[in-house]
Amino acid sequence: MLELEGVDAGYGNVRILRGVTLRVAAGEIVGLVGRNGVGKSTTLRAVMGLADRMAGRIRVGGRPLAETDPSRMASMGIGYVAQHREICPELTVEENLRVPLFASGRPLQRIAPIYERFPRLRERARQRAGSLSGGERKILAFARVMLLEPSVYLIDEPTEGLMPSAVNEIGTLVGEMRSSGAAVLLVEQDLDLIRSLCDRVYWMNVGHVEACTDTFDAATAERYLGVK
Amino acid sequence: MEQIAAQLANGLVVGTTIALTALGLTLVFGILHIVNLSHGEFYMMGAYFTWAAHSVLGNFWASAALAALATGLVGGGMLLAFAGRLAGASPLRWALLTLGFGYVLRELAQLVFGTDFKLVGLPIEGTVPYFGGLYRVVVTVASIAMIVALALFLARTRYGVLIRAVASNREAAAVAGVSAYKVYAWIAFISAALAGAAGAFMLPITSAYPTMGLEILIMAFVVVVVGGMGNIRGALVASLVAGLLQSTLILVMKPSFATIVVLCALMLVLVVRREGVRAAW
Repeated sequence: MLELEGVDAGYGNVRILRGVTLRVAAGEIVGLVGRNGVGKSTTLRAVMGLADRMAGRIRVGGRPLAETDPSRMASMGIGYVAQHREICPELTVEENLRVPLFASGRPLQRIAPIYERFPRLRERARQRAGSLSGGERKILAFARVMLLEPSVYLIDEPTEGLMPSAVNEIGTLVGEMRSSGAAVLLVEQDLDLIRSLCDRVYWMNVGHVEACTDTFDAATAERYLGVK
Repeated sequence: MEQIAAQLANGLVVGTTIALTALGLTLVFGILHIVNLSHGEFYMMGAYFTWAAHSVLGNFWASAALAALATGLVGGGMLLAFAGRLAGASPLRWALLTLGFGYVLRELAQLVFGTDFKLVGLPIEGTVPYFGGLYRVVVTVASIAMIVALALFLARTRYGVLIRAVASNREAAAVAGVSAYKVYAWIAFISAALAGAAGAFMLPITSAYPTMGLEILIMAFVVVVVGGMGNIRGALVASLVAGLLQSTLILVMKPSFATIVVLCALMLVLVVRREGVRAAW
């Protein structure tokens, strides 16, 4: 579903990724793990057109992704949940949900099932999104992306700074994305979550993918992250 | 008593004109991150376009509408062309560029229309008790209607929500499928058209002349800064206060002194509250 082959990317003259190659199939959750600064987020941003692609090929659903305009990615079936600043804080919760529907010309009725799935968002529909708690903001960010039912999800460290209960909720959500048949590329520091959710894990080191494992043990984690 | 009421009415005209101009300035800064020092020349363009259209059509209101539209297209098109080429440029670079562009527009106006004042007679005669000329009342109501329409457009419509989404978080809006370029086009057009409408409304009162944009720009710019750069409500309040204060002061001092006092008062606000009045909202 999503394939990266020898992708170099970065910002301006700074090359961060060097030959990143990975693949995520439909109905699969794939983890992208590594120390801070190795290029995990840049990998997701390169797919979205938010980082400059410098070399290599990206394919989505078997077709080359030549587009680099971030606003065109949603219509190509790619959903992105950013690590930070993932919502529009000055807009209400309801308006945040309307934005992807307005932009894509889809009906507002799509919000009703989202409210059924996330009653807390319905309760806070008229509240400014910037006043939500960290967990609620993340749920809103997921809901915004889920509204368009993408075939590929790119999720960047969704549990950072969240309470354990919110982490569980995020885990359930990501699992539901796989059940819907989507391909999920998940950047995450929580190794327990990675272990419980991911079908495969790519281990990154300074701008490139060094290994891919189906499962991982303490020795692998220690090797790439320096933790047991 | 009647003189005070007339001056207050005049203050409302001045205030709403400043507000129309300042709103465009603050929208362009808040969303496109452009410090547009040629915005006053859009105001001038609106006045000249109205005069030119009026000399052909003979109808002031149709000429004013056409002038606002033309200013929106020309001024907005210019901003958009620069925005495409200078994405991410520093505010200083934008300020210098638009300062130069404003100079070019002023010189062009002088070349095409000459240095003499171009005047159009009042399209509506008559007076309203305590408020003075009927035209001033109509213009005030029309300006307020435009401001309310803009507020409703931003608050209630599909494009309004998309514009506010880009203003709030450009990246989050982009990955949700919002084309920033389309939003920029809307804002550039609306901003220039508002200034054009303000210039058109003031034509029968002040006439059109090449440097008219400089005077409104200084007041609009200070109002925008005092209102909190990019803050619509702040700019509105500061505009009305500036307009009313200036018109009231004219009762006791020369107009040029009144302008100085108003500008000093606004600058004092900035010294006391560095964030302008935004913190009060």
